[in-house]
Amino acid sequence: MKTWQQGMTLMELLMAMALSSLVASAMLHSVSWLAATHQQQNTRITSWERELVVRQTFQHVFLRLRQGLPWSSFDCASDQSAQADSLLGTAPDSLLSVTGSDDDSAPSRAVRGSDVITIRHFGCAGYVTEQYFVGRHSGGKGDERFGLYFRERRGEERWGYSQEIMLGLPRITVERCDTVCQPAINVPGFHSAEGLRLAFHWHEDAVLPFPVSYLTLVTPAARAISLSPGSL
Amino acid sequence: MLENRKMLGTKLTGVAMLEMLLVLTLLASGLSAMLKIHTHNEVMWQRFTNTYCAHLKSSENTAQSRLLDKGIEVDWNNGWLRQCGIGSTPGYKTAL
Repeated sequence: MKTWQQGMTLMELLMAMALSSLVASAMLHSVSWLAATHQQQNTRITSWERELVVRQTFQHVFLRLRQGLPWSSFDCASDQSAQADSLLGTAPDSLLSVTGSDDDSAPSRAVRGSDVITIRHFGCAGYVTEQYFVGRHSGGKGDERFGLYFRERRGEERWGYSQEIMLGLPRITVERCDTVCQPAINVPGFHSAEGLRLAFHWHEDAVLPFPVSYLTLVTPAARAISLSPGSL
Repeated sequence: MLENRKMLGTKLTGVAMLEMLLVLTLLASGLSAMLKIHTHNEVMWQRFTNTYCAHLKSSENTAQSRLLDKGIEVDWNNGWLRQCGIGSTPGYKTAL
């Protein structure tokens, strides 16, 4: 009786251990699977948000440029600025520029392997607003390796990193549309362009259904340049 | 005595079978839940991308027709829009 009972106990123990390990293994796998699934959804949503933010940022920038306004938080006092501009002979103008890292005039020489997107607006009594986006496609360390950065000028001659607005967008190219849309490095006189087409080259890890997405911006047929900030 | 042994053996076998059944039920329900989560995620993402791609297509079509109205040749490749919203999203496996 004792031997038989001991035999059954051992069998039970082995069976319980086998079942426990099976259940534990299944639970571990399910937890790991859930974490991976959660990460995948996060990556998907983040990629989409980045695409959306880039698109909206540039739409906003060009909307302001089209309307003759600086796109920063600085707003012109419309009447005074228009009068001052006419007196000084400074025609409202703007410049969109995409330059490579080899260009010595690029303000981001400290950031090697990057494209620089420069948006420069003249107006408001000669006041110049300049904004720089840096699309880095090589070099850098860690999370800074690939991405679109927004840079601002600190001091007179020094350029420093500013708030990082985007990762995963290593390159932006631009086409200027007049009679046809052609690749352009510089788009001076933004008001004279009929339209612009921007290409956003996403990093291969981006979870988007396309490697490159485009944004077509068309200058309105009737270019009513309004200097009223309230018109936005 | 022999009958007691038989009864005990039957009882233990029954308990073991019940345990197996419970474990199998647990595994099956877990697998079923995982399948449901996976399907839900895929369906939702597919719907989401379809909606977003439809928005992008509409936006691009409007911009292209406005350029055409101005007499600007529009000959660019819209392959990226054709890819958008069709089938699974490439690259998602590499992101994991």
